[in-house]
Amino acid sequence: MNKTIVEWHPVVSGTEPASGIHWTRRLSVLSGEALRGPLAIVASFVLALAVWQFVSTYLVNPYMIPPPAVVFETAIPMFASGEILASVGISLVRVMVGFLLGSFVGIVLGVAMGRLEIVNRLLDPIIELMRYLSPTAMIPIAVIWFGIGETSKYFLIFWGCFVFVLINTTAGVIRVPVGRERAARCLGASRFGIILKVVLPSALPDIVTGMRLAMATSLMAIVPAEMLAADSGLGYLLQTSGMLAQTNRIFVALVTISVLGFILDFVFRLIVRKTMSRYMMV
Amino acid sequence: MPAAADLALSATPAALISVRRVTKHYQTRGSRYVALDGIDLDIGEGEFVCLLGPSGCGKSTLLNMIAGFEKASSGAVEMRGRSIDSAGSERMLFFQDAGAALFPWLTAAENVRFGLTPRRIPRKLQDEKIEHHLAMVGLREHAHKFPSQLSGGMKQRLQIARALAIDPDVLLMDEPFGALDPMTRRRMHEELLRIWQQTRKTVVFVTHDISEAVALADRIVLLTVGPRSHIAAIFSVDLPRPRLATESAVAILLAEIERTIDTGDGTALREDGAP
Repeated sequence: MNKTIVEWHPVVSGTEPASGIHWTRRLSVLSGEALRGPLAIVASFVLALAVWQFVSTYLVNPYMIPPPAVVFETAIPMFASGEILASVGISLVRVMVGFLLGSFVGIVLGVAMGRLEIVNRLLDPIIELMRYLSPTAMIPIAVIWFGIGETSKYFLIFWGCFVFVLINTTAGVIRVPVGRERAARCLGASRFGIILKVVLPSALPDIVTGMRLAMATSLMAIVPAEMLAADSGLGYLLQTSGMLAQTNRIFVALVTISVLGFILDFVFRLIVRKTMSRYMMV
Repeated sequence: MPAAADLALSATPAALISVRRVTKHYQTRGSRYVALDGIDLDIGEGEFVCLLGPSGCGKSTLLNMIAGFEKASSGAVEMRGRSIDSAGSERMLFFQDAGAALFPWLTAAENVRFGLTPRRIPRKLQDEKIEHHLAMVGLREHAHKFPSQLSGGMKQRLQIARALAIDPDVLLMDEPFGALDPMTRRRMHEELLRIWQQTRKTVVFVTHDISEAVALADRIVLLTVGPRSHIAAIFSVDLPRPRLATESAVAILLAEIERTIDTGDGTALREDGAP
């Protein structure tokens, strides 16, 4: 929001107390006009840290919720030793492999489902059922199929990603205006050319939406995947800290995962903005 | 359709497009909807023909059959004696919704280039064609704008430039100016007529606006209300352009078309003012 809006509710005579006007105006100031952009983010963090510090100091056992300062102190050596970066690096590679694989398969299948009614009819019921199988649910079978090596992790991330990309791609492909496709046909584009030069660019905003959802999902999927079948990565870090009951290390890992997710989404959006902005116009 | 009329039409020499006894029906859950019933029409090279009729009369269906995007249930649609069974770049279809028909991720110039690249035309010649056709529709200064930055009328002009750049034989226009305000529409009529007179393309123009048909066409093909839509009358308009509603000949023609629609026995075929 970049415009100050003062809500004005005229008082209907007799039905509302006169103070109603003042209350509404004061509320809209409180509801965020003064807090915008980076300032709001900083304020949010400061407030959260303050509440966190207060709760862990006065309300609960600091062992249950270690105060921010303790978490920070714990994090320094973990960063210095390279432990965090190593875990992040390993998890990141797994996430990227699974994410790219899932996106690729999701886009290819999504285009096929959006273009060919027979493919859609045959696959749609199966996908409707598969949607409810989370990556966590697939861990036991993934371990049996692929062992506890890297392949099972790639598979689990892939599993979490591809349905999102698939569903959004299909929707985007179906929505391509008939007129645009017919115009391209008249202009001499081949059937393959239409997929490449008309359908995919038209569906790109939906594909990107699906990939953003998939990216978030893959960060949620990497943790259980690494907790149950790994000896490295952020999930493994969480798991071992949990077994040793080191709440301060657990908190470091949790903060790391959320910050990593935030950075990944930021980078993803940045890449989209820098390379595909012309496709995001409608 | 009376046999005499059929004979008269097929005698027209050198028809570029001929529509022969075309019917179109749709199967909908047990019942059959007949959209078009026995359409016979010849369109000559360089002719400007308007298909005039109320909404739902099947005029767009007929246009899409000529374009090759829909098939007739029976009868034949031919171009230069050859059956039309798929879309081809010699027949360029136009859409009312230019925003959908254009490629929003390409600039005006790139939209025009889209039709040139599959033809393996040298880059330099492409640039010349783009420049020429954008200038023809008055968009030279807007070559680097995206469609979203153009007004409704400009988008339609861009659609025209993109079509003409690939040099089609026929322009098939489906209510192209229906979404424009009346003033912009008038200007587009002038532009289209100017371009048509320059290029001598064959134009098949679908509209439900009587005055638009009278302003533009060499021949007006009046279709009856669907279902079982057929040709009610064909008016040959041998009047100089621009045609102003205040001129008596134009006013008489408008009244005549309106009378035909109102009396609506629907089967009469008329060739008014034919040589």
